Amino acid sequence: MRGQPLPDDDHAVRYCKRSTIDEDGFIGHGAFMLRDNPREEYLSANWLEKLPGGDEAERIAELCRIHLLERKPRDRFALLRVGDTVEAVRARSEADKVLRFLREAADEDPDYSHAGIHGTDGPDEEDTAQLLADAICRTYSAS
Amino acid sequence: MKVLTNISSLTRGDKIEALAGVQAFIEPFDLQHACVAPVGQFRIGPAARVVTNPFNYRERRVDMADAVAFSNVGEVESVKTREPLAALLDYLEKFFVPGYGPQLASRLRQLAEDIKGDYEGAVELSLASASYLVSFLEKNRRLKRPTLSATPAGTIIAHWREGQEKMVSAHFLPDGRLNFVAAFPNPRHAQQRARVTGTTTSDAFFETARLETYGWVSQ
Repeated sequence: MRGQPLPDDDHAVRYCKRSTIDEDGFIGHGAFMLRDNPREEYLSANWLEKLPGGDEAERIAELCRIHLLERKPRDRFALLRVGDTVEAVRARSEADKVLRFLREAADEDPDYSHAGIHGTDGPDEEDTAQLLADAICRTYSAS
Repeated sequence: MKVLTNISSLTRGDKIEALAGVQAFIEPFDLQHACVAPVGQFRIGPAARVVTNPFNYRERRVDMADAVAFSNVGEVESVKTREPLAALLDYLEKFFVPGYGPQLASRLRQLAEDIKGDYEGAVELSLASASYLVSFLEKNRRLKRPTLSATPAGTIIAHWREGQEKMVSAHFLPDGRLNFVAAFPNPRHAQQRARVTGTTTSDAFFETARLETYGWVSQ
């Protein structure tokens, strides 16, 4: 159901373009900044546990299939544990910022695991992006 | 490092023309060792006083013995006819003072291509952001070469890391401002992580972020 909050123990997977990743493979906080033109309302992600597969690797493989057309060499997937990320941003941001991880697709949609990270915008957007990058728990190659 | 020697073979008019080209090319940068400049504003010679960047940077004293030289004025001339990113990369490869100029140029070239590909041509590497980065690094030569990533706006973030625990990131904005974050083990409580963030200008980053206290960012 669209708008459904992701459970705290589940993971959001952010697709990180190669230009947001440094030459050592570290994901920079640019990967968690909203695009201006056209202005994005939230950071797109995927709800890992909504994807089919017996383990994380199989679900990531399914994500690779979903992102087949946009994937480029050196792109990566960044995993964020929902509850930990919300808490890390709330605790470290100056305004006690509370992010919301919401499902953005219905079961019948082709990208049915599509989710959004809401609440990153505002004057402290870059600080929030840095906290999100700090909260990455694992990464996978997208190629 | 070479010293400019063959400029004396040019006529005064040639010099002005050549130097004006250099100035047009160098304008956004903080030219560390200017040894050429338009007549009337600057002069050439030992310890000449040179205004390197009238917008963001302080005046600098240039020692001829320490001067970067253009041993081939023809090459310098060709710089001004190229598109700005190519000119910046050319500068890095030929004139940039820290030894890692070619590697930095290579990374910026790759980043420019990646940004174009990632956003299907809708976004380009911000030349102003890159210029402020180059200027900052040339001014602070003891710093290690940072790794680079970009934002969706095409601006550059420089990263210095040591292991998993220590990092400094600096986002060079196109208007000369800079946002930075530093994270490292708390010096008094090693099990805790300290985090410092701030906004400054790229020319004041070293002092504002007190980078001298982070020994691991230096060579």
